[in-house]
Amino acid sequence: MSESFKVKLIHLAPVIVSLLFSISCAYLLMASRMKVFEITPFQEESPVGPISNALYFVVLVGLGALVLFLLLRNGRFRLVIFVTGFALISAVFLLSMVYFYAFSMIFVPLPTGVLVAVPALITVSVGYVFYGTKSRLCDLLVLLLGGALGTLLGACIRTLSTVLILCFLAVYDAFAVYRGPVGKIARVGLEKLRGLSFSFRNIQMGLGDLTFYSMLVSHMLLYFGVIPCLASMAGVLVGCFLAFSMLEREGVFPGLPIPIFVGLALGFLFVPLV
Amino acid sequence: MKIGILRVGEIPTDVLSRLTENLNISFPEARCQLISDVLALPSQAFNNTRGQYRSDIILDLIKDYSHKTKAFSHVLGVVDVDIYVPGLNFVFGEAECPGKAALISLWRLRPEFYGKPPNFEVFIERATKEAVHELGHTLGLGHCANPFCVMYFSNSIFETDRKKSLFCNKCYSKILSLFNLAGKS
Repeated sequence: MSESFKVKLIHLAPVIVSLLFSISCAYLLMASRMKVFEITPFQEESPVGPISNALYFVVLVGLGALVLFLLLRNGRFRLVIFVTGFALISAVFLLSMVYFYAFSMIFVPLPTGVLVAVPALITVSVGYVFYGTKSRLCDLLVLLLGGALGTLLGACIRTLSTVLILCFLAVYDAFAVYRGPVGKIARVGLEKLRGLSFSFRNIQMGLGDLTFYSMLVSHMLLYFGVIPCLASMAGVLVGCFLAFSMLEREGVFPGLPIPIFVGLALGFLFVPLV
Repeated sequence: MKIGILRVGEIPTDVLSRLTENLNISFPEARCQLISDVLALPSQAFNNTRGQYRSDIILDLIKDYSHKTKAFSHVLGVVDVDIYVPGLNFVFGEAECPGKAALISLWRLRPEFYGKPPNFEVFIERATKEAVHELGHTLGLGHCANPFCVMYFSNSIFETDRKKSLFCNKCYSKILSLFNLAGKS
């Protein structure tokens, strides 16, 4: 980030693009009325289910970041590229399958071969942009990937677990950026890891931030409707603006806590109106 | 094979009589009949936050009923409420595999649920497919990979509409072999 960085409304544009794409993905899932499998390991209905799910996610994210940091510190850059690349490509294939399937359910039911071939083609194209070019399109794809991934998480995780996962991750993020592996990875050079972050007018954000903003906004749409969704989106944007303002002074600032807490508060404020 | 159709909660009679007729066509070797008893929806199955009923709890109720009454080899419970199993946002039905008890929900089968105009024939056809599918499970059949076979797992109403109300050759052969084995034992 350059010394002369001053936050402006235009800095919110990437987040808006990602959230709008997330809402479109959520609409696809909603309109297809397809069965959605819950992906949390503990049942929402059990007394400690939601809190166990939140801890499970934080441990997963924390371990992932720690392994990534240790590999980077030991100079295993090629291995990191391979591991993150494999994860990204798998995610792109899975997400394209889910959303293309939902799309086909709404418009025209397609044979299984087509339902696999088109996502495979999308995955190859995205992989080429990520690893075969140095195009700015890569940044746009990160925004879309964050939106699509967050929507799937928002759809497949029930409300209390979603809220606790987001809160726990926001708290973890605050710790991880200053004292944990995330800040250290950022200092090593997050931009070297294609597909894991994007930069826009001196602001650099991780894929994780976009994913969890989208998870919140799409969950509000799928489970509570349009008004709480728009309110949470407004909250995330206000939170992002505040977080970006902190970047002016701090240089590095956790992207999750303020947008997530403001987004959750505003979203749930409007739930009783539905 | 004698199949009993059991109402769980309030169900329109015309729907049940059409479903009975259709099941008699789908299972020509079986006799399908509407049970006069009506079970109440178990209140403990209702999940307030989801606004849905847990299908496994309702299925247990049908299981108990099917074991008490010896008159039917298979009992198909029909509900007109939204049902789910933990881990899925909804299900069209559930069954023992193999076993005696099966359950279908009519809630998501009406075209009105999907914002379309009412269509009784489409609704009955969907109910028949789901009923044959769940009864297929009670006979020991698993899900089939053929998207046109009634035993195909419907992930959405579009897939229910795409499949036929009949078993594919492979599934039908399985049923026959299961019956032959049962006959021999």
